[in-house]
Amino acid sequence: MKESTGTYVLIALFFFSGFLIKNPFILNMISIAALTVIVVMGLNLLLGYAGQVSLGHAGFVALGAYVSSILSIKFNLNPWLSILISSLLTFVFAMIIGFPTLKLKGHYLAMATLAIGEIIYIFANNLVDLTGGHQGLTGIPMLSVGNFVFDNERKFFFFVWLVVLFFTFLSFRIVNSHFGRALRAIHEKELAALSFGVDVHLYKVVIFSLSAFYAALAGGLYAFYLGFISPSSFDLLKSINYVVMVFVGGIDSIFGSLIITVVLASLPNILTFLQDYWPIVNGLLLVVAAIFMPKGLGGFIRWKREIF
Amino acid sequence: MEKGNILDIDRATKSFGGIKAVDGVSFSVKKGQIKALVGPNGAGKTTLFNIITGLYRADSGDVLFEGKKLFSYKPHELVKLGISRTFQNIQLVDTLTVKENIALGLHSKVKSNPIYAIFRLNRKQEKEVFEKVNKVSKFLKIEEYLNKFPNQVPFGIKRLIEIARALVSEPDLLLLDEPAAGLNEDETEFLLKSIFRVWEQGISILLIEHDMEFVTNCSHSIVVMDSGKKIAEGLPSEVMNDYRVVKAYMGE
Repeated sequence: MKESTGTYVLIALFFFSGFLIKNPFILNMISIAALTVIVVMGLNLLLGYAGQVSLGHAGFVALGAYVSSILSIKFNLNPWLSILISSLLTFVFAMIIGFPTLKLKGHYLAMATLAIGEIIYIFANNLVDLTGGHQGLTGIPMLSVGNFVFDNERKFFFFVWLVVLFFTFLSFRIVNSHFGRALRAIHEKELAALSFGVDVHLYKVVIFSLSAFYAALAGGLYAFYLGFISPSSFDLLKSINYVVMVFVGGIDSIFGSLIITVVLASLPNILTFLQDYWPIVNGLLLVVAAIFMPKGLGGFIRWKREIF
Repeated sequence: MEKGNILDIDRATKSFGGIKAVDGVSFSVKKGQIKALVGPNGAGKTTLFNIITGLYRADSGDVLFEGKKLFSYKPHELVKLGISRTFQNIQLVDTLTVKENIALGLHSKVKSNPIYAIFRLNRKQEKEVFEKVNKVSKFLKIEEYLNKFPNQVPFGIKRLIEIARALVSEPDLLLLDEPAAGLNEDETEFLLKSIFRVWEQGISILLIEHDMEFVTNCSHSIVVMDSGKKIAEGLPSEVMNDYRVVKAYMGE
């Protein structure tokens, strides 16, 4: 089976499970997990395929969430439009900061992206007039299409899995293309990529911005779904969570990161007694993944290649 | 028949800290020539290669390709000019199939960005790319490995895949960095034949090599480097008997 087919089947399963699950708490949990899936999928393009680490993705999620909320609260913009604008602004922002940042490699890149995430976090915390500071931003309107309002968990659940489907489709198209193959070449053999005409730096910037776009859009949806955001949802631990999800799910495996993200994003809500210790669990997971399954969960599955 | 030069290296110099890795080396490669660059370990051959391919910036001197100054181009633009290379340490991408690895050689011929990828606007071009890949792999007799991954093929084949990747863009100048390193005798012989067949297509070749026998068998002209300097240049038979070359290789 091709990886894309497997992944679409999985998404369909999740989508239709929405008819069976009665408990709004679980629906809510899986919806939030699905939003995380979008972020992780974007990060996987950057980290898994192009091999460039980012420890600041929570910052891009925050940008998407805050900018879209502020646009719709303060400027009375349509929620959909404000999500779109904030995502595009984040894309441009990531492109501008990515240009100098992505000249760095390895640990230095990790530190620089970490700083980006932290700076955005600090702004969210301290621009009290705009963001409400650490108390958060309330009164974000609900999403609606005409008279249809996404006012309960189930409606949003179906909608968010459609969005996941859309981003999965984008990811597969990007990965299984000339562009995607160049990304893999950059990941493994940067010199070879350079020598055969890949403008390595530009490609890194493009994929960095695109993954920031994924993150910002998920952030925007998150804000309008919950109606309330505060900086604590976008701290450094969140960024690290995303990276752990990519690693455990499987570097360069879209299927793996989808399933692992749903599991890892839901577990802390189920194993509530572990909630305070979750960073430790995450660290352990990362170590176990690095030792026993260096290619992540996705590495165990042999998919048929999509090729000519 | 006198032919023009395809590559001129003019007093190229590069130092790392206090060490002059390449020290004022000049030579040219004529069109349709197989030129070899030899020398003991640490002679600066690979550094010179990296200068030519733009991975290092020379401190002084010039490299001209068909009269164009290469230093004004970025490394990723060279393949468009008609220069391609192989690597001493195999640089194949393990997560791509052999076919896709060879297709990477034609990267710059296809428009490539996320928009094109999402809407599949370059399907036709990509098809042409893979047709060319098939052609070049038939030429080098590696078509049976096309759908495998690089870690599933023998070492000698990996070298040929590297050459295929360099050839698929139909370059004017092919740079081979120690193509015979690590190959057994049969593989070396097959490689030698392949190099001649490439040369028959009218491609000029500059190669770095350790193996003197291999070099004398295949090249028209040899440049010998030692400690960053060019110490001899000429026909294989001349160079082999040059006392400076013997000294560099054997000691006093």
